[in-house]
Amino acid sequence: MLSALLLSVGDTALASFMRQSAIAYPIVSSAHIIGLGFLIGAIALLDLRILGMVQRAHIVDLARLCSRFAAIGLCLAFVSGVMLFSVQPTTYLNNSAFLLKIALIGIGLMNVAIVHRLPQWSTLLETGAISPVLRVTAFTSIMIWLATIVAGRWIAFV
Amino acid sequence: MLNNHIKTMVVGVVATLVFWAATAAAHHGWNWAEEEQTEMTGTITEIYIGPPHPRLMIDTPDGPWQVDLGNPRQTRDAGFVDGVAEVGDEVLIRGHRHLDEDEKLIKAVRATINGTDYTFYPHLLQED
Repeated sequence: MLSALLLSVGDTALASFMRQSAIAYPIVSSAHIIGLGFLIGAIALLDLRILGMVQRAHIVDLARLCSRFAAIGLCLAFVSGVMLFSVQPTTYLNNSAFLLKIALIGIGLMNVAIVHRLPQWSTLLETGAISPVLRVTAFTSIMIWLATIVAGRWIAFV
Repeated sequence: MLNNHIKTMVVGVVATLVFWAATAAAHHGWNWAEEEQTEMTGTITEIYIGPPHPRLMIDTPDGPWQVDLGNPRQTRDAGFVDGVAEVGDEVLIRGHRHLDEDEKLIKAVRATINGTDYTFYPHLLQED
């Protein structure tokens, strides 16, 4: 059911446009990288600030700004990612690195959902106080997103 | 002190990831393939013309092989476009096999189908 839906992405007009156009794929691929830059850049900066490896920035401002930038990056990466996927869904669904990448994104987003529900996160946004639990989630976060990049790049080498 | 500990961990993990990525990056040139050009014949089982990389799947006496063609532009410039070949056609591939014998992958320099040559890398073609 789910895989039938995912495979049908390849039958859309958008997918055949992506396959036939000489410029669509490189442009969408660039958009995907720009999305990753926003997403990982913002996440890394905030995580390193929470972990104490970056100390200059004001944590309250940084937390709000980075969360927003990461969300924008995620939207861009998601939309462009679906378009890149549509070009050959069967191949990607049979690619272990792709499946690992999707699983890592799922774990990363669960981490986001958990963090944003933590009272410690609200405290951080209000007072700037960094509780130990947030250091744990920040460390988890940076590792998951870096691993996602590696898994994503690995798709071409499976 | 916890900070130093975390720093050490992060540096260790990142260094591992970078090394891992670097060993993989070696794949993207042609140094993963044999220097020597060889030929193989097979029956086309799948044709993909499009980004990021056009390819054929072929059945050979040695089992199924993947044939990587040129990039989308090189493949089009070689004249290999939708309709020139069909699943079931015999194809003669000239190219570079993967160094690892277990990897059934050949990088095509030229494909010959129904008597027509499609040369993806004219400057790399070595004639016997």
